[in-house]
Amino acid sequence: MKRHILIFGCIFLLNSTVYAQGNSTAITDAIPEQTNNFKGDKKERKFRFTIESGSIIENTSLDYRLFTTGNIDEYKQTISDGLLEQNILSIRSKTGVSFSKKAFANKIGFSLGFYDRTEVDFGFSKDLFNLVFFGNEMFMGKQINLNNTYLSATKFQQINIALSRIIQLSNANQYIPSQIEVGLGYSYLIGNSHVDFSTKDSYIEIGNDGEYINTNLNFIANIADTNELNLFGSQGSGYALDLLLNLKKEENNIHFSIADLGNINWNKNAVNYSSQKEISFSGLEIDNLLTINDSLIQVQLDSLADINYVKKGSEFRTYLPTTYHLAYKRDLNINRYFLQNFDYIVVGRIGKHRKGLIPANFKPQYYVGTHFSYKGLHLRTSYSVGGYSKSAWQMELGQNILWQHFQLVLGTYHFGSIFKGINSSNADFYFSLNFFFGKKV
Amino acid sequence: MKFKNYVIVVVLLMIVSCKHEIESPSWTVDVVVPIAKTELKLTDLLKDSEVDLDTNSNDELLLVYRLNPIDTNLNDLFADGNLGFTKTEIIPILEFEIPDININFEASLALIIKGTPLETILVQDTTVDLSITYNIPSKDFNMDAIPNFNELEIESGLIEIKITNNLPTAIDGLSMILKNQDPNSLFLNDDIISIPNSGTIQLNMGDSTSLVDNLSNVFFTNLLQLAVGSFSFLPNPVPTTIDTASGIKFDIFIYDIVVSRIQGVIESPIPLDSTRGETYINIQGLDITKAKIDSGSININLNTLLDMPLQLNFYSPNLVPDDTISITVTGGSGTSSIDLSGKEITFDGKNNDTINTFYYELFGFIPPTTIHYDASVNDEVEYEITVYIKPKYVIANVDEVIIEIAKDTFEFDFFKDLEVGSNFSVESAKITLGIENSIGVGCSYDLNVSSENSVDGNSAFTGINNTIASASFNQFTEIVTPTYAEVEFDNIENIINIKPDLITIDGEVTLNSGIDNFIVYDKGISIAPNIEVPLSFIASNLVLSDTADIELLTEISNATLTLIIDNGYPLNTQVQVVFLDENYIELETKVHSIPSGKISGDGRIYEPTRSLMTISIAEENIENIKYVNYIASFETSSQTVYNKIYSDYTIAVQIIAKYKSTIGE
Repeated sequence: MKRHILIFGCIFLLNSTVYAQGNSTAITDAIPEQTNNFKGDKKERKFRFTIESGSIIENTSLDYRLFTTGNIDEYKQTISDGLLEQNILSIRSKTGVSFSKKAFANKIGFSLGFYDRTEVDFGFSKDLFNLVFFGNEMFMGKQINLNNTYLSATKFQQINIALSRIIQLSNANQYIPSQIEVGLGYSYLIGNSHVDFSTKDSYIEIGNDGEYINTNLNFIANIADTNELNLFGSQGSGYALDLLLNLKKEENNIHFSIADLGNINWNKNAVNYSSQKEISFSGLEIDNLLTINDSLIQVQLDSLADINYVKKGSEFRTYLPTTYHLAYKRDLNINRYFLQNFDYIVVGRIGKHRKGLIPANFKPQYYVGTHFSYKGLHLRTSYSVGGYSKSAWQMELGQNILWQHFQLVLGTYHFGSIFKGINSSNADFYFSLNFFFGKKV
Repeated sequence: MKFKNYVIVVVLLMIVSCKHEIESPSWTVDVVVPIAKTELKLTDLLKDSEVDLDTNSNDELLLVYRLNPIDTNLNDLFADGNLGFTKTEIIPILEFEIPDININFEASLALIIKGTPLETILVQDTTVDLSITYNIPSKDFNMDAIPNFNELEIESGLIEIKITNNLPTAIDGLSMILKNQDPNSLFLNDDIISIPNSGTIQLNMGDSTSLVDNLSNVFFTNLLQLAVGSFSFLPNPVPTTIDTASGIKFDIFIYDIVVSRIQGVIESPIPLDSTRGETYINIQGLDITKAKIDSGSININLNTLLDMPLQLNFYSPNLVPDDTISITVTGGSGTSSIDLSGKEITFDGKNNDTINTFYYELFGFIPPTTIHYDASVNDEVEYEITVYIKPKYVIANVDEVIIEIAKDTFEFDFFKDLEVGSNFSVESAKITLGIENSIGVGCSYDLNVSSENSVDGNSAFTGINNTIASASFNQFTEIVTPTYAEVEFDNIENIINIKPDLITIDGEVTLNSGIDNFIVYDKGISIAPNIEVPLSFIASNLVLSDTADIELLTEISNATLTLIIDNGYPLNTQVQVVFLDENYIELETKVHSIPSGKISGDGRIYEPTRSLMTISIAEENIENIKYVNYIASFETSSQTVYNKIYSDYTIAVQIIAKYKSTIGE
């Protein structure tokens, strides 16, 4: 019911529209956490058709030598030294097409998009990394923290419709904005497959001399569609909401948005696993130490793997990581040579939160950026700290071609990774191809 | 435009330059995993020994050496007929009486006058008077056979003959002899008795006379005859109708007949002479008043010339119940038994006023028969009576009885596998006797306990003695309630400290005097000796050595095995482990020291001491190792204070494996 009210409310939203044009689409970006939603106030064509795609791998400390250079014994200590107590590896991709109409002159702008998205989050502790890559011998007399180890992997399609409007206000009061832009978006989500796993209060304890291995393992796992793995099959559905609010007063702009506030209900062949088990292993109890052999050892090791989980088929719900974005932009009107091409500077904060058992673990990201345009070339750059990586240097290039009817945008959030090569912790790339048509408004 | 083109080219070059050859990752991890564990206790060292482990009230471990129980009872006193007897005797046959004999005979006138002139004068149904005396010559009159016997030898008796004159005249000068007919002249003298024994008889017509006489040692057959002598018919002037059927009637009644022999049907039982006897039970130290019989019998063996059934009745007032027991024996030879199972015997004699005495009576008779048998006082019955008794229990007055306990030797193998250095001594030792007395009399015992070390020739000795209370017995339910006692004799450490391999026990048990004590067969006194040695000792160079099969892990080629030993005993230990091949040739040797556990001020281990023994075996030897020989040398943590071993002491041993594993290859 609430969903229906929301949809009708968007449709009957009156007056002006905002048509986000330029380097990125309205509200929902090519990559959700793209830092800069701001465009210049230049006139742009009314309609736009976009094809876009992007993938990003981010983490705080892992090094890609881990996966690409064969034997990694030489590097793993360096990587371990750089890990935090709690680490995250995030992989996201988004590919899709969209059509949008710019909001202008009290007319409502809208956009309609179809995307294929993949979101993978893997959280792990430093102890887990060390256990996997160094073994358990280093933990003799200690406890291996497995708390908050989690994995969430979702593949889904998103059909998005968004409406926006620009409201002009009186300029009399210096504190009241002269222009308010509001936008609301609704997405229908088609879930293809999902797997998640999370632990709580779990640990492995090794005796001082290795004389015991005590494991306390509490986990919950959900898997959707275990029978037919179909990349585009529907195993669940859900919705997501987006909200946009821009306030403008002269050269000052304040932006606030919420994106991906929603969930997916997995109700086809969904399976839930749970286990709460304590295992204490100190060797096979035998009468004669002289008669142990390989088969006995194998029996013991096999028994350790007997987790004894509870499996039941039941529906479950997963939540998208919701992005909260607050930014301040100052339009620049510098008339000096070369600096006149800098359109604005922007500072902002991006946060993410995910409801449910699996946290987003997104460190608040702070960025500062600017936009440079010269004739048909657009250059956007920003520097951020936080998020899923320690820091990020975004570099985006856009070039208008064919009488500015087409625009090709290429970008990366981790421009520095290009120079680090396999020593880098992050890698991403995105592009979009925009087709502009209609009169300029 | 140029600037833009330049930027685009640079970007493309950068992307292309990121090309890198991707290889699958691999890495090495160090793994430590516990493999196996065990707890070693003293019981593992003692597993092949006769020794058990127990704990005392302070939780100190005790070595308990359970020796074989010594059982003794008084069965030997009752064995082989001590409660039985045999007696042989002859039973004569006494003179016996037979029923009275009645013979009625009438010599008719016709028979009397046959062949005389009167035969034509005295005619049937005529009326005649006799005017003169007529002489009747002697004549024999045969009587009918007497039933139920053929021959009798009458010891004594009485004969009464009533003579009635039914002739038509008076008679005079009548006399006769009663005799056996003896048609075949078998007998020398057929006369039985003369009637009258002197003189003659005169009888008027219609008169009768009775004569009584004694019979003594006369021989009767069942065919008798009256040999009547000549006599006279006296004149009778009165005419008389003549009836020739009537004559002289003889009613013969023989009574009070005592027979010494009869050949014929025995109408009344013929008694045999009864016999009585006493037999005495002679068991040293016991005066038996009563016995309940578990099994037993009275066997009577008969031997006689009589070929007729005989019945013997056995009676004893000492047999409970004291029913008379009848035995039927067919003549000749025969045996009959009286089962005594379940009966009681009171050995108190005929009048229940004595002890150790069994009184009995045996009397028999020849029962009536319908068949002719020949029985005579010359015949006799020889019998042999044999009594065999196995008692369930006896009630007796006990005099002092001494039971010898034969020497019993036990192997003491505690030190067999343990090389014990010269500095070994236990703080204390004791022997505990578990005594069960099922005899209804208290007793005392004297035991000699000695030990011997056959290697160095040392020996030690101690004597122990005490008393044992009596058991109780319910005569109605026949259930014995034994008396149990556990008696400890301390301070026998001298027996153990010579490190013996043999322990010997012998001695004697003395029953106390008492009245009316019960002794149950197969139950007596059982003494179970246990030697208890609290594990509180001082020792150095205590060596334990053994060789065992071993099966090593084949995948430990790159692994290091570590033994984690948590020693909870107050023993410092040096272990030498030698790995041997199939020919017992040494391949590798490892030596390790295991320090004693930590001892508190009160002498108890409060924390085990951990030591780690690393076993690295060369790869080329792993497959060849088939045996392991270990030599463990122990030394108590103190050489001046006795080290107690408590029940919660253990040595925990774990095997830990550390190895490298490569992931991704």
